[in-house]
Amino acid sequence: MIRIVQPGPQCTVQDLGRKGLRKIGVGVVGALDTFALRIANIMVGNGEGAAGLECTLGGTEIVFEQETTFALTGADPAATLDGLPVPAWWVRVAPQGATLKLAMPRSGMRSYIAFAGGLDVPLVIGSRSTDLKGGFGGHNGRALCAGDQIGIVKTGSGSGVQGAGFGLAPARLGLQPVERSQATDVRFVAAAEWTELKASSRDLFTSTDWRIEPDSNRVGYRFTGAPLELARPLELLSHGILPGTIQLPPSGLPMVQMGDANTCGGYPKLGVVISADLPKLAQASLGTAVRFSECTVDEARSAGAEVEARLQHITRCIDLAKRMAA
Amino acid sequence: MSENRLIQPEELAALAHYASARSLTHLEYSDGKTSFEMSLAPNELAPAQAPEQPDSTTIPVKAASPGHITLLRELVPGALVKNGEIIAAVEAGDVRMPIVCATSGTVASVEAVDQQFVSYGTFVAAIIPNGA
Repeated sequence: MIRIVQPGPQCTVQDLGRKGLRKIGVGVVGALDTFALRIANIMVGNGEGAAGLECTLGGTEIVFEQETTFALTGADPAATLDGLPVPAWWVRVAPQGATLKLAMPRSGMRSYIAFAGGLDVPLVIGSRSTDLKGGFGGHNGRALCAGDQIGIVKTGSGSGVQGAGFGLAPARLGLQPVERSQATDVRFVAAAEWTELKASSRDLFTSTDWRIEPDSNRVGYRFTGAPLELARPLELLSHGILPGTIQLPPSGLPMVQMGDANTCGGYPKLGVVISADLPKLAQASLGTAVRFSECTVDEARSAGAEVEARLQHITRCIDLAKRMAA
Repeated sequence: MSENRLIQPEELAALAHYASARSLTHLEYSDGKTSFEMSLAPNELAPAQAPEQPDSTTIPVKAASPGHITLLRELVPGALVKNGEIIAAVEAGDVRMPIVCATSGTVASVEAVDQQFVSYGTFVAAIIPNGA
C-alpha cells in the first residue's frame, strides 16, 4: 500500500493504455513516456505493462505503508527517500513508513514510479490507466489527491533487488530528457492533408522552431510560431485520429494529439509523429522548442525497431545488475 | 549503446578481482554485437586484498564493483553524510552500482575522484561516525 501525501500538479495511475478501442470512442491514454514506464517496470521485475505512477512536474510525496521495491525513471525529479537522494533511473527498496518526495525536474516533464508487483487498481476495459476525460480507470477515474491509498499487487517471485539497489547510466544509454535550452527533434510521417499546405508553409513547418504553449496537456500539445496556410479552404468530415496526429486548426498553429487524444477530429492532418519519438515529445517541457522533420514510413518502422533493440539491451543490463548485486 | 570499454589492463585486472572475490573462474560477456570469454589464471584467483584502512577511527566507504565512479553529491572533507546515503555510483558498463555510506557522520577524507576507474574494494571515502 502507498499513501499519497501530496500528488503534485498531476499524478495519475497509468499503464501502457487501451489499445484497439478507438473505434468505439475509447482513447488510448496510458503513460505518455511509455519507454520510461516500461523500463521502470523491468527494473522492479514486473511485466512491462504493469500500472505505475506518472508524476507531472514533480511535487509528489508518497509514503510506503509496507516495504516496497520501486524504480524511478523519466525526468529526474531530484527525489529523496527519507531525506536521502535517489538518483534518476534507479531501483531500490523503500522500508515500511519511508517517504518518497519528488521535486520539479530540471529537464523533462514526467517522472515514472513503478512498484514491484504493480499498483492494484481495477482493470477497466482492458487497462489500469486513468482516462481523465472519461473519468474511469486508474484510481477512481481521476488524478490522485492527498490522502489516497493504493494497494500494491503481491509478488511471489520478488523483484531481485536488494537494499540500495542499482541504476542505469542515463547519459550512456541516451535516457536523459532534452535540456530546456535545446530544441527537441521530432520526426513525422506526412498525412492526408500535408500536400494541401502551401509549399511555403510546408517549408516553414520543418525549418523553424515551434514553442510548446503553456495550455498543452495530456490530450494535446499546442504550438506557437508563424501561422501556416492551406493552399485552399478545406472542410472535412470528422475522422479517426490517434496519438501523434498533427492537426492544423483554423488559427494556422499546429497541435499534436498526445496519449489522451480524441478518437476523432475534423481538422486537416499534416502528419503523425512517429511512435518512437512520442515519448521524447512527452518529455519536452512547456515553453521549449520543438523541430519537426519529415520521414518515411520505413524510417519510422526502423526507428521503432531501434527503440525495441534499446529496450532489449537495457533489459540485459538490468538482468546483469541484479546478478552483480546478488 | 555502449562502446566496448574492456580494453584497459586495469579494467581487466579489476574484473579479475571482482570474479575472484566471488569465486568465479570464468566470465562470459555478450551484448549481441560484442562477446568475449575470460578464464582466470590460478594466480589471479587469490582473494582480493583487503584495502588498507586509513584510520581506525573512521568507517570506510568502498566500491562494490569495478568501473568508473560518478560522484552523486559534493564529497569533501567535513561534509555530512547519512547512513544509507548513496554518495556515488560505479558505472559498470551501462549500469550503476551504488556506493553507500554505512554510517551517519562527517567525511574525513575522499580517496576517489569523479570518473576515476575503481576496482572492487577501492576506498572511496572515510567517514567519522557521529559521536566518535
